Amino acid sequence: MEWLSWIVNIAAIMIIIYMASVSLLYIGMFLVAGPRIKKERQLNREAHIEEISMNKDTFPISVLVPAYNEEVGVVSTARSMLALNYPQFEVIIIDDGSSDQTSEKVIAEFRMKEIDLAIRRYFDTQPVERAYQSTLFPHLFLIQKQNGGKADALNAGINFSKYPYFAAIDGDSLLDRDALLKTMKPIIDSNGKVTATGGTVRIANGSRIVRSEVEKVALPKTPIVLMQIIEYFRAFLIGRLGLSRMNMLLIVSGAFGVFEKNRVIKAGGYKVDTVGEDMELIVRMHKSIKDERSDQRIEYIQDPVCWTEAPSTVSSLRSQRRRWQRGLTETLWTHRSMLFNPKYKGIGLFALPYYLFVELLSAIFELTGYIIIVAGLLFAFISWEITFVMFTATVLYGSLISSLAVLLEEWTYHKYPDVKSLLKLFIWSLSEAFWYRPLTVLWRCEGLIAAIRGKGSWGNMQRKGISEEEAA
Amino acid sequence: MVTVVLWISGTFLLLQIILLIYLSLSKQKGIRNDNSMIHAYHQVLNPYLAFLSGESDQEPELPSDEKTRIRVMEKLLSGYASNIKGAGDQQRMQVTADKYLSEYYRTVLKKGSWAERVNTLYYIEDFTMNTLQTDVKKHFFTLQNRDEEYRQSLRVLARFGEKELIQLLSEELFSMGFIKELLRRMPAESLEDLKKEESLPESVKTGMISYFGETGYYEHLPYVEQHITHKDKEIRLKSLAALCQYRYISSADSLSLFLDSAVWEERMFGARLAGILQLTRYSTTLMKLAGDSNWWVRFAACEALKQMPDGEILLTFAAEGHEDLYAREMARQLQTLKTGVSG
Repeated sequence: MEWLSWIVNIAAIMIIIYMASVSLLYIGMFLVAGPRIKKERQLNREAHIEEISMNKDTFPISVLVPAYNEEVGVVSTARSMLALNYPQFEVIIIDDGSSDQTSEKVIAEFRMKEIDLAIRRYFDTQPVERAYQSTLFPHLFLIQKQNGGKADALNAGINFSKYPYFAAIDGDSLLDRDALLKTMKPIIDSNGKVTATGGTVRIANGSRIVRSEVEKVALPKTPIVLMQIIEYFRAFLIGRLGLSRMNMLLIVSGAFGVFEKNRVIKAGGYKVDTVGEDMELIVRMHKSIKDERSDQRIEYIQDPVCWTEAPSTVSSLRSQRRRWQRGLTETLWTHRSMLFNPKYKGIGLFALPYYLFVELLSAIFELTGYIIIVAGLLFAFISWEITFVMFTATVLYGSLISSLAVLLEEWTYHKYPDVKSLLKLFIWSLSEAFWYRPLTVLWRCEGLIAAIRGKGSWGNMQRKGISEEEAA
Repeated sequence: MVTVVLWISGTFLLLQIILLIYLSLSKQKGIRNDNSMIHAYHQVLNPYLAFLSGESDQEPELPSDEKTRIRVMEKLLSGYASNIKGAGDQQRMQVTADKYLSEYYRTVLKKGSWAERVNTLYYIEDFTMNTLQTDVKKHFFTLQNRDEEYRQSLRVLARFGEKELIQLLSEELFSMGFIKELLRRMPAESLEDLKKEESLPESVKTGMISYFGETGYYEHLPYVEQHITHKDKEIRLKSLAALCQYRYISSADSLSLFLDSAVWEERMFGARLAGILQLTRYSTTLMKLAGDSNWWVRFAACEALKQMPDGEILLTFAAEGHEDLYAREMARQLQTLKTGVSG
């Protein structure tokens, strides 16, 4: 029995060292992200984008909205796109062979007429069957194609688009009216040195959204969604901003991102046989930039620009997390040659290892930790005292990071109308280690296993629709 | 070991409590300040607008608290600035802004945080506070980073017609887009001075030509036309693009040079211009360009054919009888596609 105890002890020490390193890394990233947010804290955001909102030179954009069985939300999404504040843009809805009424709803709502196609083919996609143009809004298009997955739909959208930049947005997301202006600003200010940008994605559940616009920001009542809000703050305001400041951003959220079309074409477009096409594309863009020795950058802006409906049931959250983990595994596997490769500088030496050890393998380390604790207590090879102390430290550390993320959110957006909402976020963050974290760790491990075995899908969840059509 | 971990946990807890107190207090303070500003703003809005527009001689009483007064004044003047109708309105806004804000803005430019300084520069421009021109210029020369503060300072200086800006444009490398931002703000005399400059970088020249096309002012047309045969390709292309916006070319014969060019952008602009000016003599060339190897040239050629007096017939002929498959496809698309832009 002694050897077993010895192995468990070694494993426990390794996990503690690992967790401490990850903790330090997070603190480090907070220290990188925090000053930037603090610096821009009081900036007049409207005046900041006023110039490009009126400037005739602001690069025109094609907004691509892939949709698969999105009959519930597709019309409000299209309306939200049409209401965007931007000098020149087109909206292209790509129906990826939906079996529901997605296309019919769009055609009827926007009085669309079929048009003939002369599409450029940058990428091969599943056949595009028909294209429509709205008679009410000449810059709104719908293309119908055979089912090929989200990545294939986006590639078809790029083929159809006519502008030099495109925004990729999920069919169930809503954009802030100034989203395009805010995300294009770094591209315009840098005169094209910035080749892609992503902004903060916010969870819309709980907020009042009328006619595709967020009218009042509020917290949801469901704990599972509340925890995701805290998680998003952490991921976006600490993780992504920290990495972006070091030009090592590897994810521009699939929910909303803006890309230079030429760079995406050079990189080969979206990869169709992965569920993590958003991250995979960014890694390939970095590779293409480094291979070309170009000084282009991929940037993240802290402004909240996109609102999305978060999974509100355990089963849909589980499916989402499994899909994310699978996507991450596939991307890291596809680009394993870049890992620890000095040729790719920060991306190869820091960002990819970070995603491997912190984002991917942490699930395994944490799960092992939970097993050791539970088994150790059951078979009495770990004392209650030590378990309690370590667990307390983990809970407090986790909630401290969450609190810091709430602080950054208050500095960037400060739209929660009262102190009560902030307190609620604080208190819920304390409970994370007891139920939410173990569950997500388990699902991430399932996702890892699925990546080694499984196959791809759109991974849809049942949408309730987040926008009210009529003001109450 | 246990003691160390307990100490660390205690520190985490303490930090969290401090953070929580700080956030709660600052949130409460923020909400209170916002409410008092909004209340004061609504109280003075109508009487102050009457005073600004000259309807009333009595200046309404403003909040006694300096910070609230400044915030109210900024909000009030921002709304007023976007609705100014004449020189009189402008004058009254400048005087009011100078009276209540100039001293504060001078202090902010010297001692404020980065965000405060940038906001101040936005307001200085919006309220055309040219009494602060020297302060902004001094501030500009202290800037190290080429960020938004740097760009906004230059925009303010351009708005006030700062003489040194022309020299700066000749020496520093700016993007064409940003140069146009400056040109849009410059007074007419500064633009004339700039046109006389001979050693301007390419980005400034292309910026000027592009901006002139955008304005459509005929006094700049000779400058644009004089550059369509420039040795620099970018300058030539910008001149052609500007002529498309002017919807004019002195000598339509010179277009054939571009329609036959080896540079696809020149063929595209040539086709576009031929369409805009409805130069039917180029219909045959446009029909040939409908089958060009470049998508954009094909698009421009078919669009130009559509604009001709007998455009629908020409497009139908191209859609049905053109020898090139791509030309037929493009013509068909143009037959059904409604050309439109977002608003």
